[in-house]
Amino acid sequence: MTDFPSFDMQSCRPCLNTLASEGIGDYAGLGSYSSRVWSTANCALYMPIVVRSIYTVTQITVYNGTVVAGNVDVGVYDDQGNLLTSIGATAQSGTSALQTFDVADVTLRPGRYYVGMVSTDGTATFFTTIVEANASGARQAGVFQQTGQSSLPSTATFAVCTQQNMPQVSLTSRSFV
Amino acid sequence: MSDWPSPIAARGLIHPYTPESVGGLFTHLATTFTTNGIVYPTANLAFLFPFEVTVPFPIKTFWWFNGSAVAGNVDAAVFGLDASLIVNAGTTVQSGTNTIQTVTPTAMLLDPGAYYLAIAASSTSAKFQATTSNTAPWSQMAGVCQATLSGLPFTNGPTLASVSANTYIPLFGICDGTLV
Repeated sequence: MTDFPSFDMQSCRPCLNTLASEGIGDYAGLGSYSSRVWSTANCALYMPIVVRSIYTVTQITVYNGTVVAGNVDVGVYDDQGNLLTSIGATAQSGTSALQTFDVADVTLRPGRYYVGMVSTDGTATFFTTIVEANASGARQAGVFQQTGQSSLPSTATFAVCTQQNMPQVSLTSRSFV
Repeated sequence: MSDWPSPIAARGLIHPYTPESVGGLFTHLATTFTTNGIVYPTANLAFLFPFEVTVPFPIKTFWWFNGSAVAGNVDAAVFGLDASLIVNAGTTVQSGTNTIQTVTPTAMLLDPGAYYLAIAASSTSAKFQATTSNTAPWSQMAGVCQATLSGLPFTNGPTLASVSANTYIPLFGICDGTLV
């Protein structure tokens, strides 16, 4: 048997979460969770997530807050900003509930990826944590943003993040959430 | 000195509140343990918590933290992500209030990978030290799931389902030693 560590088995938990340790969960400065507005309409967020073994994304889930409005788009990017899969602009639906999107399956190899998310309406709410008031917390966690996007672009242009509200997004590799 | 990376030692205990499992999410929530524990919500409804080990992990002890009341039987187990039963404690009479109860299972060495840590109790009078996630969606997005059993002990291949109506997170787990 080889001594080389094997990365071909799926050794990731079935749900990877932007606010868990594979995402930004271990960074200091994360505040309480609450239903909060999407800070800026059409401002996409790109949140880093580390995949430690081969992982097939089948669904992406967001946690809607107390008010739904406009369209939401969620997807996964590679570390070069190339969109790997997304749901496309879809009406936000279901208050204080999960909204799960059945995206085109994509298999990720170990590495860093970005979970992209955007809402077209600044009154739409999601359950988020909040980073430090000057938004340096988001930058320290490696989060980027891109303004002027009504849906996730095929190629992300990473820019300094000035947003404070960090949403909980879950990637799923099984058939249910 | 070898250039091969050395395996990082694992913590000796794994339970839902550790980073190996879903603890990284729930530590941000305002969860607290009550003195007397929380009753098990539904008899023979198993809760499964995903966890990962990055080095071989020898399971030498199953344990759970009883609350102020004990009743019925308990079983704990480790399943593969495909619901294949890897090892379980076996049907065990819940015994000892406000203390950790331990069971020595058949020796099992877990290969690095992802698994489910599962628990089930036969009585809704049984109490465990536990917290509840703020809402079921928190548990769902952490990958927690449930399975309805016909009874204990755990058997191979339970049907896994969404934990959409439950927020229960008991304190139980595995240990790579005999002292918990």
